[in-house]
Amino acid sequence: MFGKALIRALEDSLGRDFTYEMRQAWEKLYQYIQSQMSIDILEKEAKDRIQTL
Amino acid sequence: MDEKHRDHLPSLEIDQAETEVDGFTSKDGHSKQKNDASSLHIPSKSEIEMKDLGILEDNFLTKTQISHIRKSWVMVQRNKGIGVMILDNLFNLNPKLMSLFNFTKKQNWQLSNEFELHTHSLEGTINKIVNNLESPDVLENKLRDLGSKHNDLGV
Repeated sequence: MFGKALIRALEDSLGRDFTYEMRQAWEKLYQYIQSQMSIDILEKEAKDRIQTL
Repeated sequence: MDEKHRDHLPSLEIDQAETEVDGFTSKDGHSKQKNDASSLHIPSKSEIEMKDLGILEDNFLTKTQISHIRKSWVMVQRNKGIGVMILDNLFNLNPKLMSLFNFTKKQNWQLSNEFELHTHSLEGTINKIVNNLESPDVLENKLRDLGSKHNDLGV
């Protein structure tokens, strides 16, 4: 959701200057951001699951 | 552009990134020769250095992609209000998200100091990310911290 909001804002702000390659690079960066931000959540979920076993 | 905004601009290293070959750049400027006779690939010194930087990892960015991100972010900073645009888009995409931000409970919240502060902090965070694309350790710490803060808020 945030990635979509970010890329749409870049697109609106830059118009035609926002190239396909730029969009692809931001999309890849956002995937990375999301994966890093989720690590602690995933670790916590895994620990919780282990504790309930 | 005022001094405050100029300080946030990421450094430009666009020219260095134009000689990408197969996802990485040869430091001496020569293209990597493909060896058709053998599939065995012995990494060069520059490849090993770049792997250490995290640039060649599957889930991360090539030098060219980093330069695309930096170039577009510098261009965006020239037009004011990218933080406002991002939050506007976010609230339009999912109006329920507004309830997570206390400032949206105020009248004319778009004009409130809290909204302005949040948009500046958002721009500052993106600046930090854009400035540290070659430093996975810094990025990971920053993003994990950001992730846990947002998780605590239930975002």
